[in-house]
Amino acid sequence: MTELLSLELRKQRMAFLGVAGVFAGSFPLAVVCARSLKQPLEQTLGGAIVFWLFLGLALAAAVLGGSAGTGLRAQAEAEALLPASAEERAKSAVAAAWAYLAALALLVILASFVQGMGWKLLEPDSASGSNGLVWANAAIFSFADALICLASFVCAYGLAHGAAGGILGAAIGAAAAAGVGLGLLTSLVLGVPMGFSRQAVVIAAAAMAAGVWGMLKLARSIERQRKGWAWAAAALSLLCGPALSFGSAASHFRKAMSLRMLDYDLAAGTRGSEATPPSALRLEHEGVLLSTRRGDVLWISPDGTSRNLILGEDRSLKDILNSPLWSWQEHAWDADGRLWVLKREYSTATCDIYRGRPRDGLTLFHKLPLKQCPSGLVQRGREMGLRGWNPLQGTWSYASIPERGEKFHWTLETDDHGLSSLEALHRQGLAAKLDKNGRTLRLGPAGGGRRWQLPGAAVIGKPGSEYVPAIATESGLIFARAVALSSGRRALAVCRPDGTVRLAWEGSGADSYSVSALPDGSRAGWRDTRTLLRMTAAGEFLPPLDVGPAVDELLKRMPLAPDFSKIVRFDRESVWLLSGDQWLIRLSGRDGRVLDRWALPDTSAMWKRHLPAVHLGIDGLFVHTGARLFFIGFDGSRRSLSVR
Amino acid sequence: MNDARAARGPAFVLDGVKRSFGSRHILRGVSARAERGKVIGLLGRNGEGKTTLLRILLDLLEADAGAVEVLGLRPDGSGRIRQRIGYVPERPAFHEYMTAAQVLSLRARFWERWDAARAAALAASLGLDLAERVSSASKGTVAKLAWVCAAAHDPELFLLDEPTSGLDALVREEVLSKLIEELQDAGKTIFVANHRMEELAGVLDEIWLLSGGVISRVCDAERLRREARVVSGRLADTAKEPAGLCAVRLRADAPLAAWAAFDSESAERLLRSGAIEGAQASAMPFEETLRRLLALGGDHD
Repeated sequence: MTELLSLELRKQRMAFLGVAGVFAGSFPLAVVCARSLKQPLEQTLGGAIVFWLFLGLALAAAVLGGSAGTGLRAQAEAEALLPASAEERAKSAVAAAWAYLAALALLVILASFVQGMGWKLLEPDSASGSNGLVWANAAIFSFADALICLASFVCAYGLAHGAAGGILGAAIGAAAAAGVGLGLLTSLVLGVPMGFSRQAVVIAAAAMAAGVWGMLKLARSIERQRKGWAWAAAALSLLCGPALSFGSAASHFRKAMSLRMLDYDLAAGTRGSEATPPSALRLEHEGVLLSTRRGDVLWISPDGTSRNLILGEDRSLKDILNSPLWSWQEHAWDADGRLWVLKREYSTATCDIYRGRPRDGLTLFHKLPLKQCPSGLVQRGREMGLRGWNPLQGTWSYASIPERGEKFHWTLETDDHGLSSLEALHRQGLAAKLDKNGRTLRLGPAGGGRRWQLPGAAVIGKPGSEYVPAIATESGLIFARAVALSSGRRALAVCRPDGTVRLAWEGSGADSYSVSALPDGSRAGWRDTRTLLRMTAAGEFLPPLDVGPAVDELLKRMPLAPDFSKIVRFDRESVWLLSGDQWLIRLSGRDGRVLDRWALPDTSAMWKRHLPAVHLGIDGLFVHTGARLFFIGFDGSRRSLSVR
Repeated sequence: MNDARAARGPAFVLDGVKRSFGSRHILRGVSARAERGKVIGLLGRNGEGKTTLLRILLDLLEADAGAVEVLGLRPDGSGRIRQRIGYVPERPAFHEYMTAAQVLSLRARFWERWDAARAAALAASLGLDLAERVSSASKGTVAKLAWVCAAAHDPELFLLDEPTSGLDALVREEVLSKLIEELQDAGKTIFVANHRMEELAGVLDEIWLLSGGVISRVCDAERLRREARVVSGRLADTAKEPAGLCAVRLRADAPLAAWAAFDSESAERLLRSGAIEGAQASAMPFEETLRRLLALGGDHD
């Protein structure tokens, strides 16, 4: 076999030198193109290398394979007398062609490093991670080119015609590679965490094995002038690759679609206003809402209990192709802790509104024609409404969702949704309004007209900033606004139900006072990058907590995402931070020291699809990895939740 | 020595070998046995299947049916049989870009028993220019190269397909003298298909007649040379030609008639049959004997 390989390498040398010469010549050509087209040289050289990777090597494979096939046929008389079988000679010829192809591929890689691209030529998306993608792409290209070479050899050998064999072989190899590529793309396009790599490997191995088998049968048949089924066997074996790859890709697509139908995402929801009472917030975070492409809406509790709130239905491929967003649903929570779900069904042109509590189930509240169903749900204090754009009138419209059976009354609104919401809250007594001097805060008639005199001046900027939304605490509604003190410092003026005003979190002029609601009804936020602000559900403003040393310590030990800022829970003893959906960190609530840190399940599959991965619960986090749902307790415990 | 050869088994055995190419049935059941150490001439008209038979023995072609055994091995497509066979084809083919030396060097890597010194000596004795490229070599040079390739690995069996075809008299003589040299080496079996079989008259042991896709007749060459006669005379009016003669009628235009009888028994029977009046028998030159033998076929079995 070694002697035969040596003989074949000698015979195929000229074909390789020719192809290599064309490769070498492509770089001076790239230089000429750069100059004549006034393009950056690095760009044209990179383009030449990319061309060789994606197309050039495939063409070279067809040339080398076709040349080897005709060469073996042409020298049959000279070599038949050698004490070697026809199969060994064919194998040696293919092996030599593959060896030259590999040598050319190495030249391409080497050129890539010289030019500066390095392995990046195999990374279409270098931001998505390098190693796995490089090897996967390398494997795909290797398979495609090797199969093209083999198929070209078999066709050229069988037909005794290099050009025809090369073209046929290239078509067969490209078809097989295209099938594999489609299979791999399916997972990417549909966003289903269902790999095709294993099938791709099996397909590649089977296609190569079938091709080699067919080649050996054909070689024996031709050399020994056997009549029979060898030709048909060779043809079928070559077609095995494309058939397997497209068949597998089609099967994979169907399965992926089926899974995608059932694949669940964290449901898209509208965040309620700050006036939502803590009791309602707790209901909202007792579990997590999931939705599927089929239109199911599921409610999952931390103990894994699953309740199907709305049943979806299977979709046909026609449905999918005709209407990709066949069932778009969103949800919102009202001030009483009830869940509202808006479900648009494009296939039936209807819009269903459901309402209820997850533990009791949802009921159909309203059913509208799709044309009358605007953009989405909005919660404005005690009101749940629909707001949408009317393209015919060029305006926004809003309607509070009436009781069952009653009509919707639409009103026109300005573009500024926030301003409209604040005005609505003010009408409900859930937002106070600053006087023009920024020193007096007043409630409207619904709030009893109460007013507070602020100890400093609040800044009023763009329209709407004169409103101060209420913050619901266990002891009632409070209104808080940052004010500038006469000392030049700033503080949060907290206007209490009893009419008093207290100052909290006094600090420098650059401090932020933005806090967000947590599942237990408390509020928390960052004064700056190193200081936490906390307000309990009862309305107590805790002293700012300096976590600077903890931040420094964490930065030394582990790579922290830029969004190292989400506070997810606190009590008097501890503060829990969520870092970039990757780490749950517990700090001391007294001195800000790091007490614990827990790595979360990998959610990269979700952020790649630009989908949320973490939902806050009362006692922990719901973490969606794309393939599984976990509940991570604030004690670091981890539980996998079964969705179906 | 005969007993020793017999103990090693025959050189090759064919039993009911058949081979077709499409609708053309070339070999229709060839059965024969070649003993080691013999020189066997294969006689047959163009297209009878001589080359096909040789290629089957070389394991280059598969028989459609029948059994083949060569030097104790059954052909399996692996080519191992060719390690022990020396073959000179009618039209030798080599890699055009190689020189004669490179051709020999290539073969040296494949044959386990290749003897480079022997190859060099043979090449020298034949006057072969080893630096000459195949693409520019003459027919004679290519023939000499083929002979060196066939002999350098000291094969047990030689298969020669028209080894002197297209060669001038001088080269033919050079090649044939090598053939005779090999004969002197004990144990070598030579199976040669040659239109000019008379060139081997002095060395042949057997002549096989391939006709109608079968080995229709196996003749002892010495006996053929010694006993073949032309029997001629006047055709008798009433007497019939005896059946079962190993003879071919040469002419029957009354009143003269002549037969070529290939053995003494057939000649005697013709002489005594009365079919010819005034019959006379004369010795037949070997060349003519072989030519007449081709016409024999299977008709006179």
